[in-house]
Amino acid sequence: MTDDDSKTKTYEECYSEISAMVDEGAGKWATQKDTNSGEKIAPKDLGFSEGFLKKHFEAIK
Amino acid sequence: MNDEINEEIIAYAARIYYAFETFRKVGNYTNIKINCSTAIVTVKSWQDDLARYAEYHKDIGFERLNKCKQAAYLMYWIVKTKPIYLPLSQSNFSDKQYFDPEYTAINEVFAFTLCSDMLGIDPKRNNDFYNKIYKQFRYDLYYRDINPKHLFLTLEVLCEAMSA
Repeated sequence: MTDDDSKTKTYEECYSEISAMVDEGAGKWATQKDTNSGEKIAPKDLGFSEGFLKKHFEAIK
Repeated sequence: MNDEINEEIIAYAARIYYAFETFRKVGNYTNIKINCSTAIVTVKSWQDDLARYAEYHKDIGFERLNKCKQAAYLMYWIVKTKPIYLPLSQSNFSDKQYFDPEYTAINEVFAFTLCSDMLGIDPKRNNDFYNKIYKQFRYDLYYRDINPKHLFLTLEVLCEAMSA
């Protein structure tokens, strides 16, 4: 395990890194206009819910 | 048309990054990393595809973009762009654990796991079936040609089977 592996980043740290990356120039891409009227998954809903990963890793043993 | 990566894309990418951090920790994976700029490409491609899909189907009355469709496109783009990587050095390159499919197919494993949770699949409901499906997805996503439209159908069937 490396030093980096021992620390798990918080969401705020992840957001800060991604945001800095975009500020540095990765943001110059065209974005398709979104006309979706369905049940869209919001950013806050993307990720692992509590307890899911424990059940997942137990099931795949 | 917007020429900037918008706030929503940044938030999705940050969520993917954070999900990776949680996945890495709970799964006790070592040495894996995520490339932030690739993660941005992953979510931007995902959202662009969904937007195109919605626009294309706008006039023909289909039910649009339910969770299975969104999960299928996300799974496809994670597997296609492969934001997770394994920066091995001379000292650990030949370490046997890194030849395990859990590492060689790490993007496929992460994509399936994240999308399963997104779809509300409960592994505990049928551990054996979940394990079998997990390994099949890991194999198919890694070795076979996939497209999001077929993935969508497969995920719908999986959701039905896991809720029966």
